[in-house]
Amino acid sequence: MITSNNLTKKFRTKTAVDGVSLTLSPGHVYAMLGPNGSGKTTWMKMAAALMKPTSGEVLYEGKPVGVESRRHVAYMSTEPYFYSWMSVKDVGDYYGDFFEDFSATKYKSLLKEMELEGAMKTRTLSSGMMAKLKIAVTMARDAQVYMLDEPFNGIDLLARDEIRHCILREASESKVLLLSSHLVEEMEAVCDTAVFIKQGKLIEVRNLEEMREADHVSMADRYREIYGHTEVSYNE
Amino acid sequence: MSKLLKYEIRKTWALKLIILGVTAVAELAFLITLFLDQKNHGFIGLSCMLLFFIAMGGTILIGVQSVLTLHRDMNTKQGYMLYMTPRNSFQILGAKLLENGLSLALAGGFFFLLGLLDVTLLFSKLGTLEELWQFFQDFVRMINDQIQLNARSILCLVVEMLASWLATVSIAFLADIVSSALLNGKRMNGFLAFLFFILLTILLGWIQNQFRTGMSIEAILLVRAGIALLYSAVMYVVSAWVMDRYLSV
Repeated sequence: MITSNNLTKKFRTKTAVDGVSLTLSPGHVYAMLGPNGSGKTTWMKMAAALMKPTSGEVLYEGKPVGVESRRHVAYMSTEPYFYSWMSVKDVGDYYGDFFEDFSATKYKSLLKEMELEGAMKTRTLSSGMMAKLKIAVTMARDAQVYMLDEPFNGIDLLARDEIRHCILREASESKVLLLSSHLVEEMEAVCDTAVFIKQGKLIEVRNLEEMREADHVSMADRYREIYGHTEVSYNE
Repeated sequence: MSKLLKYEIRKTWALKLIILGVTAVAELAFLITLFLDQKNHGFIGLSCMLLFFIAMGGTILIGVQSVLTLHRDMNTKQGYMLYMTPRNSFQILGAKLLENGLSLALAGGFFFLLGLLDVTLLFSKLGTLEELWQFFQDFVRMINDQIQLNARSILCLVVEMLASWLATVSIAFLADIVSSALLNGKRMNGFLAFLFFILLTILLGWIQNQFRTGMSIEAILLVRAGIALLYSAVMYVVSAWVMDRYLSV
C-alpha cells in the first residue's frame, strides 16, 4: 500500500534517511523502532508528503505521495501542531472541512472517552491532553494509512492505555497502522511487525510472532541486540 | 479554496480588529474635536494626521502580517495543519494572496470612504478655512506632485498604492518561500532572500516607471496598478511552483 524505494534525505551535514526501501502492507500494525535521530520521523514526514526526499521516492498505491495520498494517509506528528487560537472543537471542525473521511460523530465520542471538552483551548492543554487530542482527531478519520509518531510520548500509564485501545480499534485487514515510539514494551502489545532503523538505514523488518517462534526473542530483546550492547541469551 | 480562505481570514482577524478599534478611537477624537472644539484648528489637524497615519500604517500592517503568517506556516510545526491537507501549493498560496488582496481592498475602501466622509464633514463645518484646504493639497502633493485634490484622482491613487503594496507583499512571499525552500540551512540565507526581495521590488518600480508620459495622471496611476497586479500574478505562479517542488515543512 505504501512503499519507499531507495529513499534518502540529506540535511546539511547529516543523512537522516539513507536509501530506505520498505513496503507497508494492509492488515498490519507496524512498530518503527530506533533511537533518537535514527530517521523514523523523517521517513514518516516524507511518506506523509510533508517533506521532499533528496533522492528516491515514496509511493501510495503505486503513485508518488502528494495531494492525492493526503486524502488517505493520516499523519500525527509527535509535536503539537494545532493553531494556538483553536479550541478542541475548532480542531474537529478544521479536520471536517478538509478530510472527507473525518467523522464528527466519532470525534465527539473519542473526546468523551478521553475526557476532553470541545470548549477547551488547545494552548492551555497539558502534554497528556494534547497527546489525547492528537490521537482523537487523527483516529476520527477513516484513513487507509495511519502514521503516528511517538503517540505515547510524555503521557501517563492510564492515558497510554486509552490511546492504545483507541489505536487497536482501528486495526483492520484493509488498513496500515505505523507507530513509532521509544517505549518498546508498550509497542509490543500493539504491533505485529517491527521495522528497525539505525542511523538512517533500514536494518530489518520482522514479524513479531515469527521472530518469537524462530529466534525466541521479543521485540525488546531484538531492539537491545541491534541498538545496545547487551548479549541476548537464547532459550535454545 | 473557500475553506482555505476561511482559515486564512481566521488567522489574521485579530490584527484587523485592533486596527478597527484604534481607528474608531481616532475617529471619535476627530469628531469630538470637530463638533465640540471647532476653534482649535491644531487639534483638528492633529486628529486628521492621526487618522491618515492609522490608515497607512494599518494597510501596511495587514500586508506585513500576511508575510509573517506565511513564514510561520512554512517554518513552524503549525505548518502541518496546512500542508497535510489534500490541497496543492497553488491553492494554499492562492488563498493567502486572495485573503491579503481582499483585506487590502476592504481596508483601502474603508479608509477611503472614511476619509471622504471626514473631509466632507470638515468642510461643512469649516468651509471657509483656506489654510486647511491648502494643507490637504500640500499633503496629497507630497505623495504625488501631479495629483489634483478631487475624489477621482485620489481614488486612482489609492488603487495604485494598494495594488503596488499587494505586489510588494507577493514579492515578499516569493522571497520567503525561496528562503524556506531553496536556501534553508544555507549560509547568509536571510541576507540573500532580502537581496532577492530588493531586486524584484526595484524591477517592479522600473517596469512601472516606463509608463510616465503621454497620459493623464489618473491613467498613469491605473496602468501602474495594472502592472502591479500582473506582477503579483507572476510572483504567485513562481512562488507556488517553488513551494510545490521544493518546500519541506
